Amino acid sequence: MEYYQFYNPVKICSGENAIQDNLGKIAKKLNFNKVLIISGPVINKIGLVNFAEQCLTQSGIQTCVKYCNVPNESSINAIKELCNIYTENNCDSVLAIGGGSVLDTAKAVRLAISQNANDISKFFGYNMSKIGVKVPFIAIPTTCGTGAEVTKVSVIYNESNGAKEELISELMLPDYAILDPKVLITLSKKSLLFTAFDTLSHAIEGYCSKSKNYMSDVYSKIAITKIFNNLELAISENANMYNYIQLLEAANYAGISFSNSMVGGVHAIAHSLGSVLSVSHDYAVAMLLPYVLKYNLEYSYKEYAELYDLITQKENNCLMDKKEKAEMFICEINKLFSKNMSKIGGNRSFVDCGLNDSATKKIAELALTDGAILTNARYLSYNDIINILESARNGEI
Amino acid sequence: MINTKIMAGKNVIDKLNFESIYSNAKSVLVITDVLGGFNCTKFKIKKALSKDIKINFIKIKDNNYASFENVDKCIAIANANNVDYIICVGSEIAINVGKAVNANLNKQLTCVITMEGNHQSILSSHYELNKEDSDILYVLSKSGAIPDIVMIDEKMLDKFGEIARRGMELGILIMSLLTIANVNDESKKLNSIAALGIIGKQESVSLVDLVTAEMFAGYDFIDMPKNVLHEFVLRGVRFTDVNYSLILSLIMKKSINKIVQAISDEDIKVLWNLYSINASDIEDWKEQLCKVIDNKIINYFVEKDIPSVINEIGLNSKEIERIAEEIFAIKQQNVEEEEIWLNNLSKIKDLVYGNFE
Repeated sequence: MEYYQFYNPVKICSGENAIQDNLGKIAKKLNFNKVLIISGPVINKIGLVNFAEQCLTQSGIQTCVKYCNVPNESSINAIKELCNIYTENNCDSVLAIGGGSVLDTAKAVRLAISQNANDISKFFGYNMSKIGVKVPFIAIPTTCGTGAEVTKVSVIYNESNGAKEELISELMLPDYAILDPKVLITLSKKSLLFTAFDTLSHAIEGYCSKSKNYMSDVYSKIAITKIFNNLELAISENANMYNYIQLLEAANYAGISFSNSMVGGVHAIAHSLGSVLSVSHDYAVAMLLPYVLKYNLEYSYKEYAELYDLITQKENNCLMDKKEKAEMFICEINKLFSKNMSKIGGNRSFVDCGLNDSATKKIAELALTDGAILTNARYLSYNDIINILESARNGEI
Repeated sequence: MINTKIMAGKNVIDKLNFESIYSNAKSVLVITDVLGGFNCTKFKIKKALSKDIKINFIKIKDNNYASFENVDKCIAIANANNVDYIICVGSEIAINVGKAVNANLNKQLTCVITMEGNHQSILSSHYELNKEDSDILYVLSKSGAIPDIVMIDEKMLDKFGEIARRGMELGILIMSLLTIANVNDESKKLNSIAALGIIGKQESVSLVDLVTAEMFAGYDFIDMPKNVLHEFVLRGVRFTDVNYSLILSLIMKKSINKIVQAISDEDIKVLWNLYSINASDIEDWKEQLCKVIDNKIINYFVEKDIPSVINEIGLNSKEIERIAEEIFAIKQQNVEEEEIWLNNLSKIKDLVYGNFE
């Protein structure tokens, strides 16, 4: 490694009843006084926003301004509106409760406020802002996929050109992330499966990335172990809080990993697939993962072999060579998905999503412009992406 | 979990202001020591920071340990010059002074490492200061002592020999394995696993990587509650003037098998490919790891200039008792924990005496 950087400034508070036991204390510690709570309609409907507000009130934080209409995709306009609400109400801190779009929106709001701005578009790109005003910020993720609470990237929809653009800055990162398993109880089993596969993809792509480092490797490995040990139970009738917290932590660890190592081809293609076919990100990632893993096999077989040892440790592993183990690893990933997919009554097909020839070409073109492609272990050309998408469409692994 | 930004590799010092870390800075205090002045450090720091920033240099002349007196001097300079950032460059002396100053002032702290060995406490909230009048070493802990950034620049590290490397590797192995075997909370041993990942890889380990591994391993190890072994080793280092890793290895070299046996199956799964071990099962893995470590101990201690027994380096029974008394005297202030410390101390003394040959 010529040079690497590892950084995770977000303090993690994790465990059963973590919100009830710690939100108020942490908010006090960070000098929260007048809080802007950012969330989405579903989280608000299930009562999580009110619950968080109660926890804050019980700790003596009297005023909460609530905004629970964050759209499915974070947008420039939503951020502008939130910045105005923050300023008009003299807020001094931010609490975000939600999935990827809510957390991305809140991260962008923190950045904009810190720069005394409300138009986030001028900060698109890598590190376009300077250290500004400190805005205390707590994030509570409610899915087990994005790891957005620890990543320095925020994907924002730009209404003026219809594109999804990236903000990349450490200044967006929360001071604390609170992981509480209760937030997953109401998540559908399908969402649980897909978001867990998003986590798995973050961890595997992080582990095989060209920009990986020792610390990101460890976080990836632990995240993968947690997914393999808990996913099946978490989507079963016997799911318990332990399984849920393990999945939340896996998402968090995988987030820390890929925030320091970057992702690869799965995400490059999935981002484009999402834009062209309006397919949800976690579904796209879950469907694509084994195909991209197979494409990268020759370049990443050592890493796959290590991960196979991690998830299996069968007695005869020592008799297998690395390439055999690597192929078995892809089989295990595939098996994990198919087995759980059949349990929740889904099928593994891209056909219903409208992945026809013309869409395939558009996706391939767009994927070539995605930053994640640069850190994929193996070079990906336009034709390579077409081949991967065709295999995925035909279900040929 | 480490919240410090770690920047490691080639030409790191040139990246001192990477991502405009010091864009808000008006006045910076740069603390160096004898080992911090090599390789044009001063020039490189000046070059990396904006010309508008006032840079206040202070060189610490302490020979062996950072002292309370020098910390007070630095705090006075920092206050007089409205310092908003602190950069410390050099050996553990400058680093400990920097950490102590920031523990009191809560500014932004960057540590630039230029020394060999003894990197175990850099990332932690712990720092060590010596009280000159009583000659007692205090191990203190404050959250402000945790650096915001640690830089490990390959070019700035003093070159050191093969035996020193072996010693560092052994120290890292022992700290990491002890933590992994004794700590249940997985988040408190991630850095130990990373440290083993660095030293247990197939390719040769660079100096920067070795230093990084020692920092990671030390972070978790020192964080273990009531870690009397760490307290003991620190004082052993002070009395003998040898590296932390040597004292630690001397105390623990006969206990490797016991430590390895105590590692959980779950942790072994994560460590499975360490030193390219190709084991048939968990027991086989433990056996192979013990052999690897035993060989490393033999290779390290077989060298003529490495003493095989503790009293050869000046840590005789008189010193051992003195260290135990010093630790007990400091810890005795907390009456509730007196018995635990006594018990732990007695175990460590048994271990140390057990290594007399």
